[in-house]
Amino acid sequence: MNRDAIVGLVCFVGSVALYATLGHIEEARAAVFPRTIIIIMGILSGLLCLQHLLFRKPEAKRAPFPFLKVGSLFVIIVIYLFVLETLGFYLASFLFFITVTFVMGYKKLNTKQGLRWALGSFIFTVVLYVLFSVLLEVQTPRGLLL
Amino acid sequence: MVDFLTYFPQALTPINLLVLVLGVIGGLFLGATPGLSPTMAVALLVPFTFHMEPATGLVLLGAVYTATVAGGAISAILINIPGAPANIATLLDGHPMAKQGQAQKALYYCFISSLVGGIFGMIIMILFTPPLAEVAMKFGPSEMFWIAIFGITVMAGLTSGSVLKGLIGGMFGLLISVIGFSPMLATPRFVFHDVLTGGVAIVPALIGLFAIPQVFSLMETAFQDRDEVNFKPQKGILWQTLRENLGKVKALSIGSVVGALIGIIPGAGGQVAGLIAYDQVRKFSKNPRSFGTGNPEGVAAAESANNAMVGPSLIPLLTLSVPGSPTAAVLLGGLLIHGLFPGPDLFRSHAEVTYTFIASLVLAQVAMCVFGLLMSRYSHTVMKVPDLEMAAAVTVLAVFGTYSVQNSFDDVVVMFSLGTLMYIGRKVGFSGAPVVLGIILGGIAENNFLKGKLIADTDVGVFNYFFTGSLNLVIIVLCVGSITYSVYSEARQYRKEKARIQAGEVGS
Amino acid sequence: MKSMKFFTRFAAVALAAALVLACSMPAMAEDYPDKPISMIVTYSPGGATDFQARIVTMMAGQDKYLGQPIVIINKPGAGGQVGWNWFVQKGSKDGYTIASYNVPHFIAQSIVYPTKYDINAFEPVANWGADPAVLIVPKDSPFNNVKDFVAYAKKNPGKITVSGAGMYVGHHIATLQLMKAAGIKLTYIPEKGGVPAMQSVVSGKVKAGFNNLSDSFRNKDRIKILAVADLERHDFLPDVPTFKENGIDVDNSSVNYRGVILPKGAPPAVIAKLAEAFPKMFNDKKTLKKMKASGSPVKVMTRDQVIKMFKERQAYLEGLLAELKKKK
Repeated sequence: MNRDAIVGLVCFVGSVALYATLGHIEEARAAVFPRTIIIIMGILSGLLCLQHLLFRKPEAKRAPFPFLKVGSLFVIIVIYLFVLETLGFYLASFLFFITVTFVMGYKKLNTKQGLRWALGSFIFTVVLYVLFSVLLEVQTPRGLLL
Repeated sequence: MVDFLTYFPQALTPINLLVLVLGVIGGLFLGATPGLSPTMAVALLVPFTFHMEPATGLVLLGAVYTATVAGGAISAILINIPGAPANIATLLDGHPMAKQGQAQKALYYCFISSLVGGIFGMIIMILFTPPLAEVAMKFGPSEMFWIAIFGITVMAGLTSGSVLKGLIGGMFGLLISVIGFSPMLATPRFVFHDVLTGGVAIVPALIGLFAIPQVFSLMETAFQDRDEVNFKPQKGILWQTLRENLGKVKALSIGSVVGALIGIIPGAGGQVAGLIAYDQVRKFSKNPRSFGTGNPEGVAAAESANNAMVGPSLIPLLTLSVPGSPTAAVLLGGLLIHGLFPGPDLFRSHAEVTYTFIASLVLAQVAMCVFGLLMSRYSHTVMKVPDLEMAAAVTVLAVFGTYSVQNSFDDVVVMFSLGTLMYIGRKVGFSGAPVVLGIILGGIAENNFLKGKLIADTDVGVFNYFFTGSLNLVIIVLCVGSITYSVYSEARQYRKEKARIQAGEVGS
Repeated sequence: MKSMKFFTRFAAVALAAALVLACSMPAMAEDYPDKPISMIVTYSPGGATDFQARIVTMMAGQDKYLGQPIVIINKPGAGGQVGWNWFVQKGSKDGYTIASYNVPHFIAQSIVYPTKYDINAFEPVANWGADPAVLIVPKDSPFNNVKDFVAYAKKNPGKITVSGAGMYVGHHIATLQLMKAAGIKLTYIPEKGGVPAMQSVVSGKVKAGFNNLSDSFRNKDRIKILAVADLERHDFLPDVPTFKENGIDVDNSSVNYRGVILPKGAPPAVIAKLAEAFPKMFNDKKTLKKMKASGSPVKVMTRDQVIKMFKERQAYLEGLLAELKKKK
């Protein structure tokens, strides 16, 4: 099956699932607009699916999806968000910046590059802190430190 | 006009000029930082105006308001992350240009077109405020409902790929707009988790839909050899670009006129002017397929519209106190603090301060263009930042920008979830622009329909309410025209391609 | 060597202990506040509550009041519910997080919706403003007084559209009260805030509206103001009668009171300190001048007065909204 046909199918199933949740809306008037949109979305997804099943286009070759890179970045960001409120914004961001550069750039990692990244994240965090917390008095999640 | 000229020198005191220049430079930088919205930049500066003279405080707000919107275009062009919904249309062609090594040229286009549109809009505002205020008053629930529908008809054209995918993305955006507790209907909808109680606010959604997929994409390309062409400053292209840009009469005039028209509509204009103007210019172009691949006309259309909108959008803001965008809403708060109450008599009772404010907006347009052009010279340094560091920095800024809009960690969670979903969506051919348009228009469409229906039931009935009245009919005709044209051009394009394929097959 | 190791370990433990001690040390009432106080405003920047909150707290940094500035933090969403829910669930209870309140909004919400708060979740500090709801009609409306209005509504039940700032806000309460007291039926049109509600009256999209006295006062040349939903006439509009003067029993239950609260569980010394300092700060000449310039009606009330007002509203609104709740 062609990729776009699968995309259409997924969207169609999604629309049906969303339609099923409409029953939870107490007020009848409040369900009218979402119902209309979901029905239109379902029809469009069905069309997308059919379009690619019936008129099969030759598929261009795609580069392999870099699961490892994207996956590890995703995990690091999730951990970052998780500790954000306990550590405080600035400490967490500093650690996040270092972790991302070290983990994702491990191939290039040596003493000089490592120092450069560490210094870079330190300067970046300090600039953010001075500009926003000191000068503009923006509120950020506060934790252990700052 | 006479009043305007009388009070114009007021804006030129040394202290006001200093504040103006500082505001413009600061605004450009804040707006250009990915993840920081113009709304936030203005909100941050309102307390600073507290202890200033009213006129000086308003000069600062006006300067920042003008400059942050233009600043948002910088991150749109260089990093593919729009600062505000207004900058989405800029990104569609601006970022491809930057990728082709023309970042500086794209930015020149952006600032020159901004100035052209901005001055046009201010002139319209200064000359025609009273009659246009009358027009703005005519927009009621039914008219606003049709305006939202018109916006929805533009969605299909905002993706370079499949029309169906553009529409599905748009519907998804409309559904997102429904999420949360509706104060108007007094009921929660699609609140699958506590974080969704307050709904999905536009700025977190915008950051999520554009910044997060960009972070992942940057990581994919990190450490790959990049084309050196990106890094070189383009020397001596200013005059050439200026001539070229001013030669794009069609894009600039359509952009300015559409932007100014949309600015007058109370409560919607600010965020969609660029997208609608972009769509119109593309429709009138001989070569619509070149849009989205780095056509400078796209940048010219989007940016002239964005800034042409500023002047006219002050008409509903200052006479009806109806802001056209979240940024304008914050600006309104700043005006109120200084005792300027929007209303028809604002120009008479507070003429001095009001005209100083307007004069500062005109001057800010010029200052924005000058400093923007200067800053563009250093755009290659941004392009030079390695992908890895850029990805890390953008993530931190996205989290920071999202949190500080409503001081809500829930928003950060929503932003990141939406962003991850959009990254997957991008992989299979969806784009963010129609989704954002859906989120903006959903509330306008639904609330005005419900309001209109309530009113209609006590009066002339739903059909008569929505389908009669000259303004309603004009907008309905526009909607039908927009759809018909999209279908027509799609069919034409399909035939052309088919003919080309057949010719190619015969040839081979 | 061994002693060196011991020393470092000892130092680490001592440091950790000191940190824990420093963190858990109870805030001394005499020292309070020794750092800036955060004030949660449950509406977006630029709204009336937001800018009034900024004006009334601007003097906090002066030594004669608190000696520490108050930082406004906006947490908008769901008509204020997001902010107040956060305030009682996640806000700190040490007196460094305070919030603004809007009555009757939060009380009505706590009755109608499953909110995490009600009047017992808060410790009132002081009230700074009161904005009564007024009945307004477009300039070219055939209604010139409340009698015309009621007479027409009696003949045409449900045909008069009345705009207001949303569901279960003061304007909605006033509409419900008017319907009940005059025995008429009106169609309430909830809008997204007071400004669009005013706009639909000015442009004649609805036949009437309830809106803030302050906003109506500013727009008085473009609309007609029929009556004030309060116990007495207001200084801003001395010519506009109250509903009671028209023989309709609508009291001051819909008046939009704005003030400051602490969460339940805040140290008593903190409550006492703020309850003493805030009314003085609200009555500062500079604050009053700025409030007047921004057209915001001031009404300073002490903690005891606010506690009494909360209780009265709670009792009244439970009765008024009980019928609505039953319908669901």
